[in-house]
Amino acid sequence: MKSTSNLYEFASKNKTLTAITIELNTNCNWRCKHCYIDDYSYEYELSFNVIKRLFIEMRKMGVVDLLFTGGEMFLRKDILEIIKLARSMFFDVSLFTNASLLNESVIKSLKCLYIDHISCTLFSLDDSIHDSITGVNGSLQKTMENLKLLKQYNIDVEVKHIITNLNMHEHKRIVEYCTSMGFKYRLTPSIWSKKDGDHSPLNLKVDETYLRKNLIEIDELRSSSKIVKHENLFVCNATRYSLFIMANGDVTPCTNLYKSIGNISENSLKDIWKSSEYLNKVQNLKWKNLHVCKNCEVSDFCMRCSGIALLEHGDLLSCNRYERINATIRKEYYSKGRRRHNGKICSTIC
Amino acid sequence: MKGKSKYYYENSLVWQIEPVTETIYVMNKKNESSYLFTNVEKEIWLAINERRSVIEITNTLVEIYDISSEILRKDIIKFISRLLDEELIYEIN
Repeated sequence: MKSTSNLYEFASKNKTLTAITIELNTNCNWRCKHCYIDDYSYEYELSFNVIKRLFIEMRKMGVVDLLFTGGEMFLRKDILEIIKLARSMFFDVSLFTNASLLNESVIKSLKCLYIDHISCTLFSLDDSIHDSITGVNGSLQKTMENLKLLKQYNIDVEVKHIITNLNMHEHKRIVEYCTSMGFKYRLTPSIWSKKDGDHSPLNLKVDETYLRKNLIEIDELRSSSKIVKHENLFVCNATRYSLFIMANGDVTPCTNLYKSIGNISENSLKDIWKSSEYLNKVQNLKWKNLHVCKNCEVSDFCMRCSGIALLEHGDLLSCNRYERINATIRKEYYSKGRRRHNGKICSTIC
Repeated sequence: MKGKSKYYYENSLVWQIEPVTETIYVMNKKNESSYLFTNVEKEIWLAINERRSVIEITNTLVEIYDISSEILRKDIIKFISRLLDEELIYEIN
């Protein structure tokens, strides 16, 4: 996987659209209990022609990075054609997939297409735990088989591990597995409401007692650390260089901020990027604009997200209650002088 | 290298024009090496996108830059040789 920090710093400074996440479809072969998708009864899918038109426009705008997500994109019969098209236009392509539908032939093709990496989710290395969360018997086995093949073909892999109260003792084994396979990993205890505001996934969150015992260790495993929140710090820096296009054509500022700022069937991407007042407001939000957080004593240890604030509290500028609990635990730990906490808090899994 | 030779980008590349500076940046996913091209190098890079030959590139650029076509041709060949050595382009048959 490449390092793009300088590119993104420059893009943020100039508000250059550099990275786009595209939800290619909403259909999925898994039914993960924490998933943000609110209703599987409808299925959206961006058509190949619409995607092609988007790619042409993105190319002209200076976009470099494309992240394809779903649903599960490998349910699409034309998925390899889409990836081939993107690579023929020299975009850097990454895939968020559960990896269960891959096979050796597809993996060979992906290798030849020089995709940047594949990101997938493992809830556990124990079938009974993983499969109970995905709702599909045999899902872990399929994914693990394909992870072996991805390693065999030397394709970079990132494993996401979402810590819930159903798999809260699995993260050490996941880290050991990833380390042995040479995979990157991302751990998070963050779970969010569904897109429609249904808060039921929050029932899967680990409780404060668990966090008090485990959060610091999880932070250390994911190499996250503190960032000093000065008043002019941009709250949503990623929105200054990236966008999210949903499978129904709606464009949102971020994968966590479900506020449509236009639809690709009605507006050009350039118009949305340049003219959306809402996007402009989000892009320019600074720490001093937040209601409570600007004066919060644990802000330097907090990973608050404006999208989650909007989803769960109805206010873009409000405190994320759950993240505040995490930040308080961190502050208490580090204020006791146990360890010096330097650097920056890494982002949550988006 | 023949004057009529044409080239195109290797399929392992990621490349784009940065809109503010109009610099070309290129990354080779084979080895994660990266490059920035400006000025004449940028013009040659973009001409490769049009699958122009060395002669055609020379004829185009000689009208932009105040330099003899012979010197320009040598510079173009030198740059294209570098791109070939770095496995950023290949010769089209």
